Amino acid sequence: MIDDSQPIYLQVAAQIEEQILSGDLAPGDQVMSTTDWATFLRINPATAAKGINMLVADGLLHKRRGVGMFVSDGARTTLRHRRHDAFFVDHVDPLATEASLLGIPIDDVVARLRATAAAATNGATHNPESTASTSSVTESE
Amino acid sequence: MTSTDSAHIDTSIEVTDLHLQYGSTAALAGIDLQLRPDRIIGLLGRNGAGKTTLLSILAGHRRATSGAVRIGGLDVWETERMRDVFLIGEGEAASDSGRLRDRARFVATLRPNFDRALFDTMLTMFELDSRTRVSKLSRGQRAAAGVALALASRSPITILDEAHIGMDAQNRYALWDLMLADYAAHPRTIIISTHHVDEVANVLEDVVILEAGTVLRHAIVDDLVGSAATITGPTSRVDELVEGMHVVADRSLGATREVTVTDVDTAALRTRAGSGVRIDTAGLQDLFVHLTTAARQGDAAAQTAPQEASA
Repeated sequence: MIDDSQPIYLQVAAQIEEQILSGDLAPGDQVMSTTDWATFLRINPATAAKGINMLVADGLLHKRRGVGMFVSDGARTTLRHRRHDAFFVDHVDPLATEASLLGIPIDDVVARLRATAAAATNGATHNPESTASTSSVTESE
Repeated sequence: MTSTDSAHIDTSIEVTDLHLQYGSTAALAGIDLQLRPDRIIGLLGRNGAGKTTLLSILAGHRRATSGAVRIGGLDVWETERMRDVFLIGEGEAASDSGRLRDRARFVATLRPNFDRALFDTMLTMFELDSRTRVSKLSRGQRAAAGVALALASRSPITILDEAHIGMDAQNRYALWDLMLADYAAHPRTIIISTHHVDEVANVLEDVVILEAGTVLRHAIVDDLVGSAATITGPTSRVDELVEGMHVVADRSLGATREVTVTDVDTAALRTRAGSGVRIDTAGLQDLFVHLTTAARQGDAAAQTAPQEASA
């Protein structure tokens, strides 16, 4: 869960950000405490606190004294905006470089991206509505 | 016991110009340290760097040749202070003929914060029986029992001097989990000395690296690791990037060069590096190895070329 790619406190912050982006943590939801994160990831509580406090400073989380840490309104939108630019630099540009290195036509890359994105969208929506249809197929025994 | 809650004493430790001389050998050659209170601190150093010597002086088990150790402003030799420091070393109490529960009872009489329930929890965790005689325990079990006593003492300053080394991996993991949870509930200073850095790196907040009886580095782990990087890429690009930086390790493979630097702005470095050069985080263990190795090479270089040593 913890690796050497970046300092641990940044990884703690990134894990919470992922949960906000995926919707696992919605505005108003309580976030695990510093101690919970520390024991869960087997890291020093100060390191966990540093990661969490970074998100508080960014306004993504807020503290309620004596109660705990909660996800702020608009946290997901803020994160999406912030990650938008980084996405092209971190993911798309290296993709283009690697594709050109391997002589893969950009059109092939785009086609693959479309297919993967379509599959991801189908997968993401299967929860509430399409689960019913999926299970009705398997239940027709 | 009484109302003396020694868990809330000031656990800041101040070491001033500490020397310990064994005949003509300097085990400690002038240690100056200010340890922040209530932190989990790693004391790292190669064999013979002076870790055990320093810790035994901190615990009042041994006198220094010169210099001072103050805990919360008071000399470590004050009886009141000695009660607040619990040091457990590797393979301690090997010849003890008593049972584990006798040891626990004995420690409890000296340590007002001793928590018998925590001790029993740890014994269960380590699959030990409090009726077992200490002399009948295996090396690993004895280490586990020692660590259990130390943590259950809830001493304001708890020192594990390679005390966990003989324990098996399962028990060591269980130990770190329990230690973190108990530390969060009862903050205190815990000093862990080891040269197996990887396993404890993440649980430490501060780190002190000893080399040849002196302090090579004292830092907050996040700061040290956060300001270090390993840069890999074409030799000319890497050379250009690390110009003027503090290089602690350097190796080449053909046209590729891998350099580890400390004390840099890693975010700025990533921006400057661009594509074709990889920037990785250097872990605490790598930094420990690099820094101590570089220090020895530096010493050797300083002896052969003294005029360049001030650079």
